Amino acid sequence: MNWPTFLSPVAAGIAAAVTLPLLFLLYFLRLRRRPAKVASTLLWKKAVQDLEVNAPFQKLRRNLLLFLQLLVLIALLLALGRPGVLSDNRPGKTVLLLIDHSASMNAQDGTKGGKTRLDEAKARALEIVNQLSRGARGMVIAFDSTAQIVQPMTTDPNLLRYAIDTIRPTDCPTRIKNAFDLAEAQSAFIPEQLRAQQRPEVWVFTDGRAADIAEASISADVKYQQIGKATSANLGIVAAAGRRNYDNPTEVQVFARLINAGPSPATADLQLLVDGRPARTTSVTIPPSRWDAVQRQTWMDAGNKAVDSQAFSLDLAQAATLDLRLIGAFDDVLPADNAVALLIPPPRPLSVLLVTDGHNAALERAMTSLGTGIAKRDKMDTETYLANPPMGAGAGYDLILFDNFRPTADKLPSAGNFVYFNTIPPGLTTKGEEKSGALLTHPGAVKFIDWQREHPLLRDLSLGRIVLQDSLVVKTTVHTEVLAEGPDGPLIFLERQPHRLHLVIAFDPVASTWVTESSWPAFLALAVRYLSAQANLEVPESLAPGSAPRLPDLVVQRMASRPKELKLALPDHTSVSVAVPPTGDVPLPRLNYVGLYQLTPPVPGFEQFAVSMLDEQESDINPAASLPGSGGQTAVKAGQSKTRLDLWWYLVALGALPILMLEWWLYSRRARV
Amino acid sequence: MARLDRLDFVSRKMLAGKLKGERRSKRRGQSVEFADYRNYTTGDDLRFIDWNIYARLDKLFLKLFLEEEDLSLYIIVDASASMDYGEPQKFAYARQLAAALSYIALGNQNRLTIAAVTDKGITSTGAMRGRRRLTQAFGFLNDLKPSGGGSFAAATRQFALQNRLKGVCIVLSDFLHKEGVEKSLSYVGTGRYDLFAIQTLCPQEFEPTLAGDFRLVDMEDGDEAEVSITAPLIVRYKSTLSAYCQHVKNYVNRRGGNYLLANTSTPADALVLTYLRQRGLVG
Repeated sequence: MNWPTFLSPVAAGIAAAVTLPLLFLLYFLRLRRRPAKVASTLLWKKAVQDLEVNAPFQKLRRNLLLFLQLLVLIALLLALGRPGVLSDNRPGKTVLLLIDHSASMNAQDGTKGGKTRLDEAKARALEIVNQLSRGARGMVIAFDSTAQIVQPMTTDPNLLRYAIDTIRPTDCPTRIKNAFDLAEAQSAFIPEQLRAQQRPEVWVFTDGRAADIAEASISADVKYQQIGKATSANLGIVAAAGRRNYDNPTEVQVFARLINAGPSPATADLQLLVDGRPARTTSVTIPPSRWDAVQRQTWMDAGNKAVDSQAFSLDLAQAATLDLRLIGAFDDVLPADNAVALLIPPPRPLSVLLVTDGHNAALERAMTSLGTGIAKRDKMDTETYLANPPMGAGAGYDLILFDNFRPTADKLPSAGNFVYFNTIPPGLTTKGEEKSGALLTHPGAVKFIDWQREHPLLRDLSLGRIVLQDSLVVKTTVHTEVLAEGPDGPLIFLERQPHRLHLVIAFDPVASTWVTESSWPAFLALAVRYLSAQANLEVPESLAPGSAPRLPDLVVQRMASRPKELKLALPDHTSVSVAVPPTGDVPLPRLNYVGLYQLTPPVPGFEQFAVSMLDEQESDINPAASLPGSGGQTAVKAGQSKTRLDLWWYLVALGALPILMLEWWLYSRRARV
Repeated sequence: MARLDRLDFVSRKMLAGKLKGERRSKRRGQSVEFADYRNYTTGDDLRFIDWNIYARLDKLFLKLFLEEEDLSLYIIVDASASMDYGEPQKFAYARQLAAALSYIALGNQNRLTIAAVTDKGITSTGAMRGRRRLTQAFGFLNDLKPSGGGSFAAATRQFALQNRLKGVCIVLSDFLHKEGVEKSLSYVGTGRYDLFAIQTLCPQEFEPTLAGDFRLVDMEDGDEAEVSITAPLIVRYKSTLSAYCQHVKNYVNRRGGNYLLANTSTPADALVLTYLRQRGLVG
């Protein structure tokens, strides 16, 4: 038995307190009887007495009008209290079941039907299917960031049950607008629906967390079945990004922002893994995001410190997979947002141009020894260079080394990284002393006095034993970033220009003992790595779940042979085959789950995909009280799988009107006497 | 008046009178009408010995003759406040009847006593006889004013104590006595009186015209009754009235009396000349 409940009992109570005494007052005022003299009251009293004896309700009848008015008033007051009963869910003749299988539905706080919210949603959808009356039609739509018809309109409940059963969870965000649009389109042209002039009945099983709340709207009889519990706790990483330090391209900075969607503050450890090995761990304490500013301030005033974002920095010149993970003992119902993968791309295969006139064997040997990192090594003499300089942004070369050659400003590419040996190019703010067009030098042999041992270009290099001769006379400015100094001035320095980076070695290494030192090739290797990393500072962001990347045709063409198919390894260690069309881009399937995806054979630049949730809406697992766009449909919680039937109109119609008619009849009957 | 002159009271009982009159008496007396014989005893008047019988039978028998006496008539008029009601007024009607009956009584040499039940108890004219007393009788009736509501039973008890002579007793009242008709008529319903009860009710009491919510005030004792007069109540009232009248009638009949229900809308002369004749009060 479902007793009626009231939505606004206070309003009804206030109205009752005012109107009921008023009615009594009015009634008694109205009943002031007229006095009339009669010969004797004997017979009248006896008649009244007889009447009351004969009719047991005569006492009531004396005040029947008052009672009727009271009943009308009570009916109106009850109606004012907005009564309603929770009736069992009775689906209509045509129902559309919209089941959310987005990331937040993986939260493990389902109350029935299984562990996760999706399990619960499916169980509740099955209940609705079981309650479908004979001949009723249903349709199943699953939605996350997209919406798919899992089962078109059918009267076969078994098909509906099977369709519900086949819905699998994803880590995708929720776009409820797509689902609403699809449902509206599907239900707009059902002839029976149109004939009956009824709005379609759309049952939405979701936690109401959607990214497109503002856009979603539907013209239908929406029944929002709220899935999930507001008391569930969840910590999640909602933003993560990595980038190389501008000043120091081998340093990777990783930022992460976290939220706590639970009801109380939570503490966890945030761990950064590089290629699976723990590199950094820090503790984070996050107050609930549902707190308002006052609550948050009160909590912080109590001596707590909110750490809801974290930055890491690490030295990383090579490609690597960075993983951010929340670890530790904390309540968490949604594991998918506890880990984020970032792919630090491998160094681009470099192309290097050496512009030299002489046979600089030491330099060439060192270049050769740089190994696999360099894909293209070109050598050009100065005349050729001057005749046909590789202009343009980079001009196909990541790095150009000028050996004892000083190009004029108009012969330098507009962008790129340049290394100069024993010369200072024009166009820099740092100048060399010149005399009749030739750069002056400090005569004599000197040694390095000081160098920046922590700079990535000179890290761990020992330059103390090097003896060099005739270093250039350098006039530094504020833009000169001196890396190493001799007794007469800067020996190695950097100067940055827009889109250009110049590294100047202000002496001839060949005329020094450096080329015999092990630090010489090490320095070259560091320089190449540093300067090439400078060309690609940004670390690509993780893909969002549900995205379907395409491999550009150009990239595939670069492979040795165009494969017929690619194998995509999924995070759950299964793999799917991707057919490669003979021409054109290669579309990959939707990457629905968080984790790392690998392509075999590797496609240059697309060897791996990192998919991370990074969605604040999905991580905030607190179920929405009302469904966006559904006209404020009140949520039906788990275990309360009932709909509220508002009774107020029925109360007025069924109660007040007949009573008013009865009263009118009684009154007119009395008046006829 | 002329028609009234032709009327006289008829008593179903042979009641003993006080004076010689025009009515046969139970007592043997000296009229010319033979009644019976009885044996002679010493001391009897020799004038009433039937000598013819003595000659035939050689025994002395005494002839007895019927006695003729006058008729005692009592008219009790209810002058309580409840009679001051209705259109035509019940009291005025009762007074008219009483006057008509007095006229008949005095015209026929009956012994008439008119009494009125007022809030002070009983007041009466005393015994009157002869047409000459008409003025007195009418004057008494004329002076009566309905007021108050004393106990009818107490008044009739007082009346019965004062008027021990047997006779016809006519009670003119609405009999709406809260003490009950049994009590109020118990003293005049005895064998001493030939009771004739005339219940006078006005048309407003037969067919009430009230409708709605009223506080009904009793004219006699000021008693109040709050009633919402509705159609079912009117129906119930009528049946109650009818049952009450029947109850009065039954009581009176049980006591050997006669009962007449008079509606004040019926002309008083018609009532006397028609209804009372039919009922045998006058003839």
